[in-house]
Amino acid sequence: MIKTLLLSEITDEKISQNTYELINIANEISDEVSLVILNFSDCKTLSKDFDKLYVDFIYVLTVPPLNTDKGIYNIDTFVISKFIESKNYDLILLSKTEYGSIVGPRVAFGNKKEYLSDCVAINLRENGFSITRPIYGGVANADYKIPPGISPIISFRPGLSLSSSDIKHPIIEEITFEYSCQQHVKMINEFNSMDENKIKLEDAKIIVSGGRGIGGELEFKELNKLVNLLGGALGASRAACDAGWVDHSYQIGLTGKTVSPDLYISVGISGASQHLAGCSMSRNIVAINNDKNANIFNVARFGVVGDWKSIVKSLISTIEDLNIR
Amino acid sequence: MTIQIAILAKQVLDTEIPSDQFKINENGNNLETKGNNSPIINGFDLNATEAALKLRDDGHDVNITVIMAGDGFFLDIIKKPLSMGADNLVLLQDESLVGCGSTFTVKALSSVIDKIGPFDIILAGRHASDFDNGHVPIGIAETINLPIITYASEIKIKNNHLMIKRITLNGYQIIETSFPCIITVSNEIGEPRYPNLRGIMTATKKNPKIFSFRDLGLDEQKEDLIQLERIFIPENNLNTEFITGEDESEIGRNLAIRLKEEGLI
Repeated sequence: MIKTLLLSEITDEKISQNTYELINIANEISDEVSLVILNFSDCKTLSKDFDKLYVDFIYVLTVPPLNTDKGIYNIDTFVISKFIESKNYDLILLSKTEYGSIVGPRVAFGNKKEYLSDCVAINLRENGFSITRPIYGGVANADYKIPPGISPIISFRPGLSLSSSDIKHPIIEEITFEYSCQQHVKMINEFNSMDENKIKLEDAKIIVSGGRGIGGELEFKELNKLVNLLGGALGASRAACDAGWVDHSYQIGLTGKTVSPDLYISVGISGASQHLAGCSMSRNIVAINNDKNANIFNVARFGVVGDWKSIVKSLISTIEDLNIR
Repeated sequence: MTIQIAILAKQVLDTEIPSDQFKINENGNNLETKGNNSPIINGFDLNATEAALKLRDDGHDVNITVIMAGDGFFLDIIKKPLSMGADNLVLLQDESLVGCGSTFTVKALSSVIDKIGPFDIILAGRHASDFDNGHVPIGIAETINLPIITYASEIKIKNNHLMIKRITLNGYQIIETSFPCIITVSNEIGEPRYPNLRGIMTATKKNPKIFSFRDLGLDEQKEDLIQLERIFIPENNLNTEFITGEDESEIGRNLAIRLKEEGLI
Protein backbone atom coordinates (compact mmCIF):
# COMPACT_ATOMS: atom_id res chain seq x y z
CA MET A 1 0.00 0.00 0.00
CA ILE A 2 1.68 3.18 -1.22
CA LYS A 3 0.77 6.33 0.73
CA THR A 4 1.70 9.63 -0.83
CA LEU A 5 1.57 13.12 0.61
CA LEU A 6 1.32 16.15 -1.66
CA LEU A 7 2.25 19.69 -0.64
CA SER A 8 -0.11 22.05 -2.42
CA GLU A 9 0.46 25.59 -3.55
CA ILE A 10 -2.06 28.38 -3.57
CA THR A 11 -1.95 31.15 -6.16
CA ASP A 12 -4.50 33.95 -6.29
CA GLU A 13 -6.50 32.29 -3.52
CA LYS A 14 -6.95 29.14 -5.62
CA ILE A 15 -5.33 25.74 -5.59
CA SER A 16 -2.63 26.05 -8.25
CA GLN A 17 -2.62 24.21 -11.55
CA ASN A 18 0.66 22.55 -10.47
CA THR A 19 -1.11 20.96 -7.54
CA TYR A 20 -3.70 19.38 -9.84
CA GLU A 21 -0.83 17.99 -11.92
CA LEU A 22 0.77 16.51 -8.80
CA ILE A 23 -2.53 14.85 -7.89
CA ASN A 24 -2.55 13.10 -11.25
CA ILE A 25 1.04 11.95 -10.94
CA ALA A 26 0.44 10.69 -7.40
CA ASN A 27 -2.72 8.76 -8.26
CA GLU A 28 -0.87 6.75 -10.90
CA ILE A 29 1.57 5.29 -8.38
CA SER A 30 -0.27 5.44 -5.05
CA ASP A 31 -3.05 3.63 -3.23
CA GLU A 32 -3.77 6.55 -0.95
CA VAL A 33 -3.17 10.24 -1.68
CA SER A 34 -3.22 12.98 0.96
CA LEU A 35 -2.96 16.67 0.31
CA VAL A 36 -1.67 19.35 2.64
CA ILE A 37 -3.06 22.85 2.21
CA LEU A 38 -1.55 25.73 4.14
CA ASN A 39 -4.20 28.32 4.66
CA PHE A 40 -2.56 31.23 6.43
CA SER A 41 -4.67 33.94 4.91
CA ASP A 42 -7.85 32.36 6.22
CA CYS A 43 -9.20 32.07 2.71
CA LYS A 44 -12.86 31.01 2.76
CA THR A 45 -13.18 30.42 -0.96
CA LEU A 46 -10.60 27.62 -1.04
CA SER A 47 -12.84 24.94 0.40
CA LYS A 48 -15.32 25.09 -2.48
CA ASP A 49 -12.60 23.48 -4.63
CA PHE A 50 -12.04 20.62 -2.21
CA ASP A 51 -14.50 18.26 -3.87
CA LYS A 52 -12.71 18.77 -7.18
CA LEU A 53 -9.53 17.33 -5.73
CA TYR A 54 -9.06 13.66 -6.51
CA VAL A 55 -7.45 12.75 -3.18
CA ASP A 56 -8.39 10.67 -0.13
CA PHE A 57 -7.47 13.10 2.63
CA ILE A 58 -7.08 16.85 2.83
CA TYR A 59 -5.26 18.41 5.78
CA VAL A 60 -5.79 22.13 6.14
CA LEU A 61 -2.96 23.51 8.27
CA THR A 62 -3.29 26.93 9.88
CA VAL A 63 -1.35 29.06 12.33
CA PRO A 64 -2.81 31.87 14.44
CA PRO A 65 -2.16 35.37 13.00
CA LEU A 66 1.43 36.39 13.57
CA ASN A 67 3.48 39.48 14.12
CA THR A 68 6.74 37.67 13.90
CA ASP A 69 9.29 37.56 11.04
CA LYS A 70 7.80 35.35 8.37
CA GLY A 71 11.13 35.13 6.57
CA ILE A 72 11.25 33.23 3.32
CA TYR A 73 8.64 30.50 3.80
CA ASN A 74 9.75 30.04 7.43
CA ILE A 75 6.20 29.31 8.56
CA ASP A 76 5.55 26.88 5.70
CA THR A 77 8.75 25.01 6.49
CA PHE A 78 7.93 24.90 10.19
CA VAL A 79 4.34 23.77 9.82
CA ILE A 80 5.00 21.11 7.18
CA SER A 81 7.89 19.74 9.25
CA LYS A 82 5.65 19.51 12.32
CA PHE A 83 2.94 17.80 10.29
CA ILE A 84 5.14 15.12 8.74
CA GLU A 85 6.80 14.36 12.09
CA SER A 86 3.74 12.44 13.23
CA LYS A 87 2.87 10.80 9.90
CA ASN A 88 4.34 8.14 7.75
CA TYR A 89 4.29 8.44 3.97
CA ASP A 90 6.14 6.51 1.29
CA LEU A 91 6.56 9.63 -0.83
CA ILE A 92 6.20 13.37 -0.28
CA LEU A 93 5.76 15.30 -3.51
CA LEU A 94 5.66 18.98 -4.42
CA SER A 95 6.12 21.13 -7.53
CA LYS A 96 9.44 22.53 -8.66
CA THR A 97 8.31 26.11 -8.51
CA GLU A 98 10.07 28.94 -6.69
CA TYR A 99 8.12 27.90 -3.59
CA GLY A 100 8.89 24.21 -3.97
CA SER A 101 12.57 24.83 -4.69
CA ILE A 102 12.92 26.44 -1.26
CA VAL A 103 10.37 24.69 0.93
CA GLY A 104 11.21 21.20 -0.45
CA PRO A 105 14.90 21.13 0.50
CA ARG A 106 14.31 23.07 3.74
CA VAL A 107 11.80 20.49 4.97
CA ALA A 108 13.90 17.58 3.67
CA PHE A 109 17.28 18.58 5.10
CA GLY A 110 15.71 19.93 8.28
CA ASN A 111 14.11 16.53 8.88
CA LYS A 112 16.98 14.36 7.59
CA LYS A 113 15.06 13.14 4.59
CA GLU A 114 16.39 12.49 1.11
CA TYR A 115 15.56 15.10 -1.51
CA LEU A 116 15.35 14.97 -5.30
CA SER A 117 14.43 17.97 -7.41
CA ASP A 118 12.93 18.66 -10.82
CA CYS A 119 11.78 15.13 -11.63
CA VAL A 120 9.97 14.46 -14.90
CA ALA A 121 8.93 10.83 -14.34
CA ILE A 122 8.35 8.43 -11.48
CA ASN A 123 7.78 4.69 -11.72
CA LEU A 124 6.76 2.04 -9.31
CA ARG A 125 9.29 -0.78 -9.00
CA GLU A 126 8.92 -4.20 -7.44
CA ASN A 127 11.00 -2.77 -4.64
CA GLY A 128 10.67 0.97 -4.26
CA PHE A 129 10.55 3.54 -7.04
CA SER A 130 12.65 5.02 -9.81
CA ILE A 131 12.65 8.60 -10.96
CA THR A 132 14.05 10.45 -13.97
CA ARG A 133 15.35 14.00 -13.87
CA PRO A 134 17.12 16.12 -16.48
CA ILE A 135 20.69 17.22 -15.79
CA TYR A 136 22.96 19.75 -17.51
CA GLY A 137 19.93 21.82 -18.43
CA GLY A 138 18.36 18.86 -20.24
CA VAL A 139 21.39 17.69 -22.23
CA ALA A 140 21.01 14.33 -20.49
CA ASN A 141 18.65 12.55 -18.13
CA ALA A 142 19.53 10.71 -14.95
CA ASP A 143 17.62 7.77 -13.47
CA TYR A 144 17.70 7.29 -9.70
CA LYS A 145 16.68 4.25 -7.70
CA ILE A 146 14.70 4.92 -4.52
CA PRO A 147 14.58 2.03 -2.05
CA PRO A 148 11.38 1.51 -0.04
CA GLY A 149 11.01 2.87 3.45
CA ILE A 150 12.99 6.12 3.19
CA SER A 151 10.11 8.56 2.57
CA PRO A 152 11.94 10.98 0.25
CA ILE A 153 10.75 14.45 -0.72
CA ILE A 154 10.59 14.91 -4.49
CA SER A 155 9.82 17.99 -6.56
CA PHE A 156 8.24 17.64 -10.01
CA ARG A 157 8.67 19.90 -12.98
CA PRO A 158 5.47 21.84 -13.70
CA GLY A 159 3.58 21.09 -16.91
CA LEU A 160 4.09 17.31 -16.88
CA SER A 161 0.51 16.21 -16.59
CA LEU A 162 -2.96 17.47 -17.28
CA SER A 163 -5.36 17.94 -14.45
CA SER A 164 -7.98 15.32 -13.86
CA SER A 165 -11.70 16.01 -13.67
CA ASP A 166 -12.54 12.90 -11.66
CA ILE A 167 -14.45 13.37 -8.43
CA LYS A 168 -13.64 11.73 -5.13
CA HIS A 169 -14.98 13.06 -1.85
CA PRO A 170 -11.98 13.51 0.38
CA ILE A 171 -11.97 13.43 4.16
CA ILE A 172 -11.05 16.89 5.43
CA GLU A 173 -9.21 17.63 8.65
CA GLU A 174 -8.11 21.02 10.00
CA ILE A 175 -5.04 21.28 12.19
CA THR A 176 -3.76 24.41 13.94
CA PHE A 177 -0.10 24.91 14.86
CA GLU A 178 1.63 27.30 17.22
CA TYR A 179 4.52 28.83 15.33
CA SER A 180 7.78 29.90 16.86
CA CYS A 181 11.01 30.87 15.15
CA GLN A 182 14.21 32.43 16.43
CA GLN A 183 15.74 33.32 13.06
CA HIS A 184 15.88 36.95 12.11
CA VAL A 185 14.78 37.14 8.47
CA LYS A 186 12.40 39.99 7.84
CA MET A 187 10.77 40.98 4.60
CA ILE A 188 10.94 44.76 4.44
CA ASN A 189 9.26 45.25 1.12
CA GLU A 190 8.03 43.44 -1.96
CA PHE A 191 7.74 44.64 -5.56
CA ASN A 192 5.96 43.09 -8.51
CA SER A 193 7.20 44.11 -11.90
CA MET A 194 4.70 42.01 -13.85
CA ASP A 195 1.61 43.83 -15.00
CA GLU A 196 -1.28 42.36 -12.99
CA ASN A 197 -3.68 42.83 -15.90
CA LYS A 198 -1.64 40.85 -18.38
CA ILE A 199 -1.91 37.11 -18.94
CA LYS A 200 0.55 35.29 -16.70
CA LEU A 201 3.34 33.41 -18.46
CA GLU A 202 2.49 30.28 -16.46
CA ASP A 203 -1.15 30.42 -17.59
CA ALA A 204 -0.68 31.59 -21.19
CA LYS A 205 -1.79 29.32 -24.03
CA ILE A 206 0.48 31.20 -26.45
CA ILE A 207 3.89 32.66 -25.63
CA VAL A 208 6.09 34.78 -27.89
CA SER A 209 9.61 34.82 -26.54
CA GLY A 210 12.63 36.87 -27.61
CA GLY A 211 16.36 36.35 -27.19
CA ARG A 212 19.73 37.90 -27.87
CA GLY A 213 18.99 37.93 -31.60
CA ILE A 214 16.27 40.54 -31.10
CA GLY A 215 18.95 43.18 -30.73
CA GLY A 216 17.61 45.73 -28.24
CA GLU A 217 14.95 47.09 -25.94
CA LEU A 218 13.06 48.94 -28.67
CA GLU A 219 13.08 45.93 -30.97
CA PHE A 220 11.67 43.86 -28.13
CA LYS A 221 8.58 46.04 -28.10
CA GLU A 222 7.84 44.92 -31.66
CA LEU A 223 7.28 41.40 -30.36
CA ASN A 224 4.50 42.80 -28.20
CA LYS A 225 2.42 43.48 -31.32
CA LEU A 226 2.43 39.76 -32.07
CA VAL A 227 1.75 38.96 -28.41
CA ASN A 228 -1.29 41.23 -28.31
CA LEU A 229 -2.60 39.97 -31.63
CA LEU A 230 -2.44 36.36 -30.45
CA GLY A 231 -3.72 37.12 -26.95
CA GLY A 232 -0.63 35.57 -25.46
CA ALA A 233 2.19 36.51 -23.11
CA LEU A 234 5.67 37.86 -23.72
CA GLY A 235 8.71 35.86 -22.62
CA ALA A 236 12.46 36.26 -22.89
CA SER A 237 15.70 34.31 -22.70
CA ARG A 238 18.25 34.95 -19.99
CA ALA A 239 20.53 36.70 -22.50
CA ALA A 240 17.82 39.26 -23.28
CA CYS A 241 17.15 39.84 -19.58
CA ASP A 242 20.85 40.11 -18.69
CA ALA A 243 21.23 42.67 -21.47
CA GLY A 244 18.60 44.74 -19.69
CA TRP A 245 16.13 44.76 -22.61
CA VAL A 246 13.35 43.26 -20.47
CA ASP A 247 12.77 42.71 -16.78
CA HIS A 248 13.97 39.38 -15.38
CA SER A 249 10.39 38.46 -14.47
CA TYR A 250 9.84 37.69 -18.17
CA GLN A 251 12.64 35.16 -18.15
CA ILE A 252 11.92 31.57 -19.24
CA GLY A 253 14.44 28.87 -18.39
CA LEU A 254 16.26 27.22 -15.57
CA THR A 255 16.78 30.57 -13.83
CA GLY A 256 13.34 31.86 -14.75
CA LYS A 257 9.93 30.37 -15.30
CA THR A 258 8.92 26.94 -16.53
CA VAL A 259 6.11 27.17 -19.06
CA SER A 260 4.08 24.69 -21.10
CA PRO A 261 1.83 26.62 -23.50
CA ASP A 262 0.10 25.11 -26.53
CA LEU A 263 2.21 27.36 -28.78
CA TYR A 264 5.65 28.76 -28.02
CA ILE A 265 7.08 31.10 -30.65
CA SER A 266 10.78 31.69 -30.01
CA VAL A 267 12.35 34.60 -31.85
CA GLY A 268 16.11 35.14 -32.02
CA ILE A 269 16.76 32.54 -29.34
CA SER A 270 19.68 30.17 -29.93
CA GLY A 271 18.28 27.49 -27.60
CA ALA A 272 20.90 27.12 -24.88
CA SER A 273 20.01 24.19 -22.65
CA GLN A 274 19.33 26.62 -19.80
CA HIS A 275 16.50 28.15 -21.86
CA LEU A 276 15.12 24.86 -23.19
CA ALA A 277 14.75 23.63 -19.62
CA GLY A 278 12.03 26.24 -19.20
CA CYS A 279 10.15 25.85 -22.50
CA SER A 280 10.66 22.32 -23.80
CA MET A 281 7.38 21.18 -22.22
CA SER A 282 5.52 23.43 -24.68
CA ARG A 283 3.22 21.42 -26.93
CA ASN A 284 4.27 23.18 -30.16
CA ILE A 285 7.45 25.20 -30.59
CA VAL A 286 8.02 27.55 -33.50
CA ALA A 287 11.64 28.68 -33.86
CA ILE A 288 12.54 31.80 -35.82
CA ASN A 289 16.30 32.27 -36.09
CA ASN A 290 18.76 33.40 -38.76
CA ASP A 291 21.21 30.60 -37.93
CA LYS A 292 19.96 27.33 -39.40
CA ASN A 293 22.26 25.39 -37.05
CA ALA A 294 20.82 26.97 -33.91
CA ASN A 295 20.08 24.47 -31.16
CA ILE A 296 16.49 25.70 -30.83
CA PHE A 297 15.56 23.88 -34.08
CA ASN A 298 16.21 20.55 -32.31
CA VAL A 299 13.07 21.06 -30.23
CA ALA A 300 10.99 23.00 -32.76
CA ARG A 301 7.99 21.53 -34.58
CA PHE A 302 8.13 24.41 -37.05
CA GLY A 303 11.42 26.03 -38.05
CA VAL A 304 11.85 29.34 -39.81
CA VAL A 305 15.28 30.53 -40.96
CA GLY A 306 15.71 34.20 -41.74
CA ASP A 307 15.57 37.76 -40.49
CA TRP A 308 13.04 37.83 -37.67
CA LYS A 309 11.90 41.41 -38.26
CA SER A 310 10.58 40.81 -41.77
CA ILE A 311 9.19 37.41 -40.86
CA VAL A 312 7.33 38.66 -37.78
CA LYS A 313 6.04 41.68 -39.70
CA SER A 314 4.61 39.45 -42.41
CA LEU A 315 3.34 36.96 -39.84
CA ILE A 316 1.42 39.77 -38.11
CA SER A 317 -0.13 41.15 -41.29
CA THR A 318 -1.14 37.69 -42.53
CA ILE A 319 -2.77 36.80 -39.19
CA GLU A 320 -4.66 40.11 -39.29
CA ASP A 321 -5.89 39.27 -42.82
CA LEU A 322 -6.86 35.73 -41.84
CA ASN A 323 -8.73 37.00 -38.79
CA ILE A 324 -10.77 39.44 -40.87
CA ARG A 325 -11.80 36.82 -43.38
CA MET B 1 36.07 43.65 12.86
CA THR B 2 36.82 41.63 9.75
CA ILE B 3 33.76 40.05 8.17
CA GLN B 4 34.51 36.43 7.37
CA ILE B 5 32.91 35.36 4.08
CA ALA B 6 32.86 31.83 2.68
CA ILE B 7 32.00 31.10 -0.93
CA LEU B 8 30.88 27.61 -1.89
CA ALA B 9 32.05 26.92 -5.43
CA LYS B 10 32.09 23.96 -7.79
CA GLN B 11 34.13 22.94 -10.80
CA VAL B 12 31.75 21.96 -13.61
CA LEU B 13 31.77 21.30 -17.34
CA ASP B 14 31.17 24.35 -19.47
CA THR B 15 27.50 24.09 -20.40
CA GLU B 16 27.85 26.90 -22.94
CA ILE B 17 29.38 24.44 -25.41
CA PRO B 18 26.91 22.85 -27.86
CA SER B 19 24.89 20.00 -26.36
CA ASP B 20 26.06 17.49 -28.97
CA GLN B 21 29.60 17.89 -27.59
CA PHE B 22 28.68 15.98 -24.41
CA LYS B 23 28.96 12.25 -23.86
CA ILE B 24 28.56 9.93 -20.89
CA ASN B 25 31.76 9.21 -18.96
CA GLU B 26 33.33 5.79 -18.43
CA ASN B 27 31.81 5.25 -15.00
CA GLY B 28 28.39 6.21 -16.31
CA ASN B 29 27.90 8.62 -13.40
CA ASN B 30 28.48 11.94 -15.12
CA LEU B 31 28.93 13.62 -18.49
CA GLU B 32 32.20 14.59 -20.11
CA THR B 33 32.98 16.54 -23.24
CA LYS B 34 34.05 14.96 -26.50
CA GLY B 35 36.73 17.49 -27.28
CA ASN B 36 39.42 19.00 -25.14
CA ASN B 37 37.22 21.47 -23.30
CA SER B 38 38.46 22.74 -19.95
CA PRO B 39 36.02 22.77 -17.08
CA ILE B 40 34.97 26.06 -15.56
CA ILE B 41 33.94 27.34 -12.18
CA ASN B 42 30.17 27.26 -12.06
CA GLY B 43 29.07 30.66 -13.37
CA PHE B 44 26.75 31.46 -10.46
CA ASP B 45 29.62 30.76 -8.03
CA LEU B 46 31.62 33.50 -9.79
CA ASN B 47 28.56 35.74 -9.32
CA ALA B 48 28.80 34.87 -5.61
CA THR B 49 32.49 35.83 -5.65
CA GLU B 50 31.54 39.11 -7.31
CA ALA B 51 28.95 39.71 -4.56
CA ALA B 52 31.64 39.28 -1.89
CA LEU B 53 34.05 41.60 -3.73
CA LYS B 54 31.32 44.24 -4.04
CA LEU B 55 31.10 44.28 -0.22
CA ARG B 56 34.84 45.00 -0.15
CA ASP B 57 34.29 47.73 -2.78
CA ASP B 58 31.72 49.24 -0.40
CA GLY B 59 34.52 49.70 2.15
CA HIS B 60 33.84 46.71 4.38
CA ASP B 61 36.75 44.78 5.80
CA VAL B 62 36.13 41.30 4.40
CA ASN B 63 38.17 38.12 4.29
CA ILE B 64 36.99 35.84 1.49
CA THR B 65 37.52 32.07 1.57
CA VAL B 66 36.46 29.96 -1.38
CA ILE B 67 35.51 26.37 -0.50
CA MET B 68 35.26 23.66 -3.14
CA ALA B 69 34.45 19.98 -2.76
CA GLY B 70 35.24 17.52 -5.54
CA ASP B 71 38.08 15.83 -7.33
CA GLY B 72 40.16 16.23 -10.49
CA PHE B 73 40.59 19.94 -9.89
CA PHE B 74 42.23 22.07 -12.60
CA LEU B 75 44.35 24.31 -10.41
CA ASP B 76 44.67 27.18 -12.87
CA ILE B 77 40.91 27.22 -13.35
CA ILE B 78 39.82 26.95 -9.73
CA LYS B 79 42.18 29.80 -8.80
CA LYS B 80 40.01 32.25 -10.74
CA PRO B 81 38.18 33.57 -7.63
CA LEU B 82 41.61 34.20 -6.07
CA SER B 83 42.71 36.20 -9.10
CA MET B 84 39.43 38.15 -8.91
CA GLY B 85 40.33 39.11 -5.33
CA ALA B 86 39.33 36.30 -2.95
CA ASP B 87 41.85 35.66 -0.16
CA ASN B 88 41.92 31.90 0.43
CA LEU B 89 41.07 28.69 -1.36
CA VAL B 90 40.13 25.55 0.54
CA LEU B 91 39.57 22.21 -1.17
CA LEU B 92 37.90 19.09 0.10
CA GLN B 93 39.26 16.50 -2.26
CA ASP B 94 37.91 13.00 -2.66
CA GLU B 95 36.96 10.85 -5.61
CA SER B 96 33.63 9.91 -4.04
CA LEU B 97 32.51 13.55 -4.13
CA VAL B 98 32.06 13.35 -7.91
CA GLY B 99 28.50 12.49 -8.80
CA CYS B 100 27.51 11.75 -5.20
CA GLY B 101 24.07 12.59 -3.87
CA SER B 102 23.38 16.00 -2.40
CA THR B 103 22.83 14.57 1.09
CA PHE B 104 26.50 13.63 1.17
CA THR B 105 27.66 16.92 -0.41
CA VAL B 106 25.73 18.81 2.28
CA LYS B 107 27.35 16.75 5.02
CA ALA B 108 30.84 17.16 3.56
CA LEU B 109 30.60 20.93 3.06
CA SER B 110 29.01 21.41 6.49
CA SER B 111 32.03 19.63 8.01
CA VAL B 112 34.47 21.91 6.17
CA ILE B 113 32.57 24.98 7.38
CA ASP B 114 32.62 23.60 10.91
CA LYS B 115 36.38 22.96 10.68
CA ILE B 116 37.56 26.29 9.26
CA GLY B 117 34.71 28.61 10.33
CA PRO B 118 32.90 30.33 11.79
CA PHE B 119 31.82 32.59 8.93
CA ASP B 120 29.62 35.65 9.09
CA ILE B 121 28.26 35.18 5.57
CA ILE B 122 28.24 32.03 3.45
CA LEU B 123 27.63 32.71 -0.22
CA ALA B 124 26.91 30.24 -3.02
CA GLY B 125 25.70 30.34 -6.59
CA ARG B 126 21.94 29.78 -6.98
CA HIS B 127 22.63 26.36 -8.50
CA ALA B 128 25.41 24.42 -10.22
CA SER B 129 24.96 24.06 -13.94
CA ASP B 130 25.73 20.35 -13.98
CA PHE B 131 23.04 18.69 -11.85
CA ASP B 132 20.97 21.91 -11.66
CA ASN B 133 19.87 21.21 -8.10
CA GLY B 134 20.38 24.39 -6.12
CA HIS B 135 19.51 22.75 -2.84
CA VAL B 136 22.96 22.16 -1.35
CA PRO B 137 23.22 25.67 0.21
CA ILE B 138 19.66 25.27 1.55
CA GLY B 139 20.59 21.86 2.96
CA ILE B 140 23.66 23.31 4.68
CA ALA B 141 21.57 26.13 6.14
CA GLU B 142 19.14 23.61 7.64
CA THR B 143 22.00 21.38 8.83
CA ILE B 144 23.94 24.09 10.67
CA ASN B 145 20.78 26.04 11.50
CA LEU B 146 21.37 29.34 9.73
CA PRO B 147 18.85 31.51 7.91
CA ILE B 148 18.85 31.02 4.13
CA ILE B 149 18.13 33.77 1.64
CA THR B 150 17.95 32.64 -1.96
CA TYR B 151 18.49 34.38 -5.33
CA ALA B 152 20.17 37.59 -4.13
CA SER B 153 20.73 40.30 -6.74
CA GLU B 154 22.17 42.86 -4.30
CA ILE B 155 23.71 42.62 -0.84
CA LYS B 156 24.39 45.61 1.43
CA ILE B 157 25.66 45.74 5.01
CA LYS B 158 24.18 48.46 7.22
CA ASN B 159 24.80 48.74 10.97
CA ASN B 160 25.66 45.06 11.30
CA HIS B 161 22.53 44.08 9.40
CA LEU B 162 22.29 42.68 5.93
CA MET B 163 19.88 44.16 3.42
CA ILE B 164 19.34 41.80 0.52
CA LYS B 165 17.49 42.39 -2.71
CA ARG B 166 16.03 39.02 -3.54
CA ILE B 167 14.74 38.03 -6.95
CA THR B 168 11.26 36.53 -6.97
CA LEU B 169 9.26 35.09 -9.84
CA ASN B 170 7.46 38.32 -10.60
CA GLY B 171 9.72 40.99 -9.11
CA TYR B 172 11.83 41.30 -6.01
CA GLN B 173 11.79 41.57 -2.24
CA ILE B 174 13.96 43.47 0.21
CA ILE B 175 15.00 41.16 3.04
CA GLU B 176 16.70 42.15 6.26
CA THR B 177 18.75 39.61 8.17
CA SER B 178 21.75 39.47 10.47
CA PHE B 179 25.04 37.57 10.70
CA PRO B 180 25.57 34.68 10.31
CA CYS B 181 23.52 33.58 7.31
CA ILE B 182 23.67 31.77 3.99
CA ILE B 183 22.82 33.60 0.79
CA THR B 184 22.54 32.16 -2.71
CA VAL B 185 23.44 34.56 -5.48
CA SER B 186 21.79 34.97 -8.87
CA ASN B 187 23.34 36.26 -12.08
CA GLU B 188 21.41 39.54 -11.66
CA ILE B 189 24.09 40.60 -9.13
CA GLY B 190 26.21 41.50 -12.15
CA GLU B 191 29.00 40.11 -14.32
CA PRO B 192 31.96 38.68 -12.41
CA ARG B 193 34.89 41.10 -12.73
CA TYR B 194 37.86 40.24 -14.92
CA PRO B 195 40.98 39.44 -12.92
CA ASN B 196 43.65 42.12 -13.32
CA LEU B 197 47.35 41.38 -13.70
CA ARG B 198 48.07 41.96 -10.03
CA GLY B 199 45.26 39.61 -9.09
CA ILE B 200 46.58 36.92 -11.38
CA MET B 201 50.10 37.30 -9.96
CA THR B 202 48.81 37.09 -6.37
CA ALA B 203 46.74 34.01 -7.20
CA THR B 204 49.74 32.26 -8.77
CA LYS B 205 51.64 32.53 -5.50
CA LYS B 206 48.75 31.22 -3.38
CA ASN B 207 48.25 27.53 -2.81
CA PRO B 208 44.96 25.95 -1.82
CA LYS B 209 44.63 24.35 1.59
CA ILE B 210 43.58 20.78 0.93
CA PHE B 211 41.54 18.64 3.30
CA SER B 212 40.82 14.95 3.07
CA PHE B 213 37.86 13.13 4.59
CA ARG B 214 40.13 11.93 7.40
CA ASP B 215 41.16 15.51 8.30
CA LEU B 216 37.51 16.31 8.88
CA GLY B 217 36.69 13.13 10.73
CA LEU B 218 34.28 12.20 7.95
CA ASP B 219 33.69 8.54 7.30
CA GLU B 220 34.43 7.18 3.90
CA GLN B 221 31.26 7.75 1.96
CA LYS B 222 28.65 5.17 2.67
CA GLU B 223 26.38 4.35 -0.23
CA ASP B 224 23.82 7.02 -1.06
CA LEU B 225 20.34 5.96 -0.01
CA ILE B 226 19.09 7.17 -3.37
CA GLN B 227 21.39 5.84 -6.02
CA LEU B 228 22.15 7.18 -9.44
CA GLU B 229 21.31 4.26 -11.69
CA ARG B 230 22.21 5.55 -15.12
CA ILE B 231 22.68 8.65 -17.20
CA PHE B 232 21.38 8.72 -20.74
CA ILE B 233 21.13 11.22 -23.53
CA PRO B 234 17.51 11.32 -24.72
CA GLU B 235 16.90 10.63 -28.38
CA ASN B 236 15.50 13.42 -30.42
CA ASN B 237 12.70 12.06 -32.60
CA LEU B 238 11.28 15.40 -33.55
CA ASN B 239 11.14 16.12 -37.26
CA THR B 240 11.22 19.87 -37.61
CA GLU B 241 9.06 21.15 -40.46
CA PHE B 242 10.91 24.06 -42.03
CA ILE B 243 8.70 26.78 -43.46
CA THR B 244 10.13 28.09 -46.71
CA GLY B 245 9.32 30.76 -49.26
CA GLU B 246 10.76 33.13 -51.88
CA ASP B 247 11.61 35.78 -49.32
CA GLU B 248 11.04 36.54 -45.65
CA SER B 249 7.68 38.12 -46.32
CA GLU B 250 6.43 34.93 -47.98
CA ILE B 251 7.97 32.76 -45.25
CA GLY B 252 6.11 34.79 -42.62
CA ARG B 253 2.87 34.43 -44.58
CA ASN B 254 3.35 30.68 -45.00
CA LEU B 255 4.04 30.32 -41.30
CA ALA B 256 0.81 32.12 -40.42
CA ILE B 257 -1.18 29.91 -42.80
CA ARG B 258 0.43 26.74 -41.46
CA LEU B 259 -0.27 27.71 -37.83
CA LYS B 260 -3.87 28.52 -38.73
CA GLU B 261 -4.26 25.13 -40.49
CA GLU B 262 -3.04 23.38 -37.35
CA GLY B 263 -5.49 25.36 -35.24
CA LEU B 264 -2.66 26.79 -33.18
CA ILE B 265 -3.68 30.43 -33.65
